[in-house]
Amino acid sequence: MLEPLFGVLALFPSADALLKAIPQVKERGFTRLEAYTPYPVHGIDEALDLPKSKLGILVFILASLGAICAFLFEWWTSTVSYPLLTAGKAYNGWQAWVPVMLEGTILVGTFTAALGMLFVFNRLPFFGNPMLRSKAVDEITRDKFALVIRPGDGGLDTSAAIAALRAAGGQAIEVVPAPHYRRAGLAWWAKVTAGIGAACLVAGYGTAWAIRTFPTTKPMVEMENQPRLDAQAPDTFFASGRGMQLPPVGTVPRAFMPVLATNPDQGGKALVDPLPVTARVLERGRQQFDIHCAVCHDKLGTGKPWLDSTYEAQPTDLQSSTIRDASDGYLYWVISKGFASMPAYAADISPNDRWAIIRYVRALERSQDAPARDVK
Amino acid sequence: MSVASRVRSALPPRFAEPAGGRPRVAQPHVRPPLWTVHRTLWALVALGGAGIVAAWFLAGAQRFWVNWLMWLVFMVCLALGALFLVALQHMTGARWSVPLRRTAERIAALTPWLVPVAAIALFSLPVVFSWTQPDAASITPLVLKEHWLNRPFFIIRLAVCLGLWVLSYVVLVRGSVRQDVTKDPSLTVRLRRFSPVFMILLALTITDFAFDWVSALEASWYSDIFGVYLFAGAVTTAIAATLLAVMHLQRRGRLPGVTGDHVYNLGGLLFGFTIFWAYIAFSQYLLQWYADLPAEVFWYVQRTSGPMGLVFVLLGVGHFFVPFLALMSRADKKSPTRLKWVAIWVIFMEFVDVFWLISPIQGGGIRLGWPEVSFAAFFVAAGLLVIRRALSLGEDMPTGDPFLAAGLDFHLR
Amino acid sequence: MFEATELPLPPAPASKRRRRRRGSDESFPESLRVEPLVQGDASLGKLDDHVRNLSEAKPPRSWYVALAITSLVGLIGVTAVGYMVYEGIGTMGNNVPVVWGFLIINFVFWVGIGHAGTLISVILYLFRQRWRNAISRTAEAVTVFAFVCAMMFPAVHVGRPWLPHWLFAYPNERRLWVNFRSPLIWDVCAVVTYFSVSVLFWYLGLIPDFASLRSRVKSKVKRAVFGFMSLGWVGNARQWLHYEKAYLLLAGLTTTLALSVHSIVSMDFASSMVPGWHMTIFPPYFVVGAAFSGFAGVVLVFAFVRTAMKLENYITMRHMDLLNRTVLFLSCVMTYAYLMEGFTAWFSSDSFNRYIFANYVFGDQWWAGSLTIFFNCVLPQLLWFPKFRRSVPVMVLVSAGVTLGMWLERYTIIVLSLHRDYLPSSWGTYLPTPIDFAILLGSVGIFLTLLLLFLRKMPIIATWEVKADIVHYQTHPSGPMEAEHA
Repeated sequence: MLEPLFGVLALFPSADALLKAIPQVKERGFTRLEAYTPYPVHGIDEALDLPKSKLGILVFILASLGAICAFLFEWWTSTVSYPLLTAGKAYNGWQAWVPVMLEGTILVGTFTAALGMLFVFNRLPFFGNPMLRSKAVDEITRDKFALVIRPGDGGLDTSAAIAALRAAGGQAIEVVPAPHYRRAGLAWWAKVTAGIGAACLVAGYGTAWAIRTFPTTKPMVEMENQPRLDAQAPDTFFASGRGMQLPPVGTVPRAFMPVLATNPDQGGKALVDPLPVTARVLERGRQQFDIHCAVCHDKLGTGKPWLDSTYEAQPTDLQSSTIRDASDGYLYWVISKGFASMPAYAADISPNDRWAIIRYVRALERSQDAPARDVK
Repeated sequence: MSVASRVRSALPPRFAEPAGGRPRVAQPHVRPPLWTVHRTLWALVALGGAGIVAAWFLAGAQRFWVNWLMWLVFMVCLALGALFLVALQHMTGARWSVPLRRTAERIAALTPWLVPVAAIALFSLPVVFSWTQPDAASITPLVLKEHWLNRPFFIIRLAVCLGLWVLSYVVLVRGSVRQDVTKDPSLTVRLRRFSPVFMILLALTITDFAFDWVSALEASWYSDIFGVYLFAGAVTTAIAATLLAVMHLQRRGRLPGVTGDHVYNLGGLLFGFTIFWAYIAFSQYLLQWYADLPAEVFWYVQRTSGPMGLVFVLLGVGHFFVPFLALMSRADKKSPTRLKWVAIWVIFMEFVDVFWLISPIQGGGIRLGWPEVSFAAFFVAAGLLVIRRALSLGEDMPTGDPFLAAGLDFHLR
Repeated sequence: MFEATELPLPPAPASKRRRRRRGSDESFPESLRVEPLVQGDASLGKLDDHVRNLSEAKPPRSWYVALAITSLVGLIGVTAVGYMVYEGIGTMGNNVPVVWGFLIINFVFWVGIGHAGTLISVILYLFRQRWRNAISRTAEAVTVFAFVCAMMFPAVHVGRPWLPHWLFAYPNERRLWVNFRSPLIWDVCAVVTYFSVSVLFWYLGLIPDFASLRSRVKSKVKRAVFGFMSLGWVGNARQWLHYEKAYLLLAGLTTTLALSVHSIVSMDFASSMVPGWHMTIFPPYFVVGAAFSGFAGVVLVFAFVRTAMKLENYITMRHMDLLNRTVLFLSCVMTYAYLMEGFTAWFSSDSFNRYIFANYVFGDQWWAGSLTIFFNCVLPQLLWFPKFRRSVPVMVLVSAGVTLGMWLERYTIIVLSLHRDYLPSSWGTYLPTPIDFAILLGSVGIFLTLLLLFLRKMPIIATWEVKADIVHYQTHPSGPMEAEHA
């Protein structure tokens, strides 16, 4: 029995000799021919009736997909997932996405071209190629041109093939045996998977162990450790021994005139609402009340806090007659300085906003206890 | 045996010089006689001319001059682009383009006609240029540009540009035509020496022209790349026009030996310059859009908003995506029908580009009506007449060029 | 048995012979004659042996000495980077207002050099220029190594070099994406794409050459390595068909890439409003500048490699002449760009623009702008003379000048634009420190080390491309009518 056969091979000294030989061999009825050359020989694809490469279509499709994906990704990250305004441009400023889209297209296109050629069309890497075991392969990659007659469906008449090649001027004729493939079995795949898994585990645990065991040097320490003063830290430079200096006595922040009255009653007499009666003031008061006050005093000022379960103090009912009868100045003093467990808000709410809040509280009171004439 | 005669002997037999006579290639008349086309063109010229005169009286001076300028710029693009192709061939010493060079040279025959068109365009100075308007003296950027944008210097620059273009045309084209008769290879050497000089002159003059006649219409606007922008469009158009003319001659059997491979290469060039134009146009747009400087961006606001925005989109799609996709594959660049339509489309889009550059200075949407149609009829028909006449200039191929045989022997791999 | 038959070659085209042969054609101008791109008694086998020898034989002592020096210099640079990272960015010269100093200059410079390979290898391939074949491999190597150097700089310059992955868009615990509207992110995408594609393209070209080496190297280890790297390539005609198609597609795509990469680098500058940076000519001007410095770099490399590695038969004086013509052409385009910059700065009638450009040439660092113009515009004009285009000392002088000039150009653009901005109260100066210089020098060392290793360990000529050339010149005897295109 004949050994399984890859083909019969002959070498030719030049591309022209090879191109001349191909039709001669074809004439003798051998149709499955393959040529091997040290460089791409033009005209050989016609001689062997090789179909045109379809690589271009693959590259076009995938590169277009790359373009679309890159563009959609940029659109999604910059307008949906994390909307970000830059330089006053619209969220949908497509102009700025073109460069990355172009790069995405080219990246996908080039890798498709190269890897598609290698993996899909040429089926490389392939180290089991029987040609690699032939004597001729060293000549082919150097300066000789090979023609191989492959067996057709009905096998190959080796002696006829040898005769045909010799007649066409072929030299160093060689019968190349077929490779003995072994299919990769389940055990092989299991071994490979286990090996990769083991390598990952070793690498992961090894890295974790190394990071924990060996102290890492912090880079750019000098940048972090440059001389500076922390806000409350002591320092010997100033006579006061403080790092941060106190402002000169009597310094007043802008728009924050201190309340000089020492108790609410005194304040109630001294402080007068300076704001005009407008809807804007009331609206501002509502907004500020909802931010600062409503959390304890309730949105209607009923003193039923939202924080019932955790907050033990009992906030004042702003609808009560005590408050209703208290003067605006009294309330202003309380907001500014705090009262009982209510903290001072002087640092958080500007004077005008305090007055606006009081105006709104008066409106709330009126809303819950409206005189009959209001209803008319 | 002289080299010239050896070249001839190397040529296909149809080039063999008949005893004593000019080696004229026999022209089989496959198409109907010329005169119908010819007469139609003259009729169009007459109609268009009448329309132009009417436009002067009825459409207003501004619209008239804007149209005139658009066609001046378009003609300059076509003529200089063709001259560039001729010089490029000499400079690179490329072989494949030798048989096609004469066709480009014939399109460059538009060059001398630029002189009257540009001279008449000078009368538009007081009408359409922002720096000649009475209020220009009160606009600081314009005052600061006074040393450049003043009438005498402007006219001198135009005269210098026109002079250099006509001179280059005479040297490049007439020299090449003379070689048909003398067969003197030393002419090739001289043209090769002149070509780099021409390239330098072209770079400077086309930039100056772009700045003076397009950008300076709105003189406060500026963009460094503008000369290259116009150049890119010019070369794209010229390649398309050459492609059309080559295929026209080829159909009539006047370019024996010129194969689909030559045309394929022209298609490749068209493809390349389409990308180049898009690259230049988009970078200019992107940078001015991004920086958003008032001194620059107003120009784009005028041209990308309102109805003009549609032209802007058309330009992006038509001047780039259509030819780009139409010429992408190798088979596309080999199909004559496709090449013909793409070439016509590209020339049309170049005019849209010029329209987009110049027309918005009138404000008020897209000005497209009978005056524009008349101008188009007149200039297209007149231009075609000039090129048709030039199609009898010298031989159909530069038979005196020592590289013609090598050029005809061009095969794609 | 198969007899190794060398193909008969036409006699060497010695100039005397040729003149006698064409003695009758006195009228034919000498300048129109074309020299073949392969000279001497070249044959496919000889080329193969030569290239294999270069990567297999023991290198000469001078190679080891050079390698020792360059790697030492590279080490100095790495040490300087390490010191800078440990100590902080203050060890370098950049500070407000010149916040982009040497690191960004070097980055742009190396990216520029890195354009040589692609442009030579790819654009000339698209134009079917045969003369690219013999030089493409080394030019591509120059690209890859220049990019290795280039990518080091932004990585160090980001401030916290241990967080380089923050430059990329990936889902993270911070729920942040990168800002895709920022030119700096475009730059990251462009440079990373360009580097990976360059490596891919380089490797793709190497596969048939690895296959050739696999068949003939003596050392078993090398045989195994080359065998693996060649992926089992056997040169089947069908493989070649797809291979050439892939090469063509890659060439087309990489041309666009090469145009876009330095354009995007230029947009780091041009999309800002800094006078001297915001110019619409920047993208093409940067691309041309990159090609300019890249070609000059390649001329420098080949001026030495050609003779040192006895490649005169494959990389002829005509190759150098053509390279130098390209340098000259690019120099003219650069001159145009400089002219346009200056003119538009004036034409913009913006006083800051006008000032910045006067400051380039007449300011306190006038030498930067002036030397840029001298090296990039004036000096290369020597190459108009054919004699100089073929003189190795002149081409070394010009190319070295261009390389230096292009570095200075980036210095001018970055430092001189930043140190005078819109607010005169924030004007300042820039003084590089020794650390800056050490890092610059180190990058040169790393580049040269990699190049030296490549020259002696890898196939430095794309033999499969030059083999086709050899056959072409054998079958088409050289002459004026010769069809040079592939």
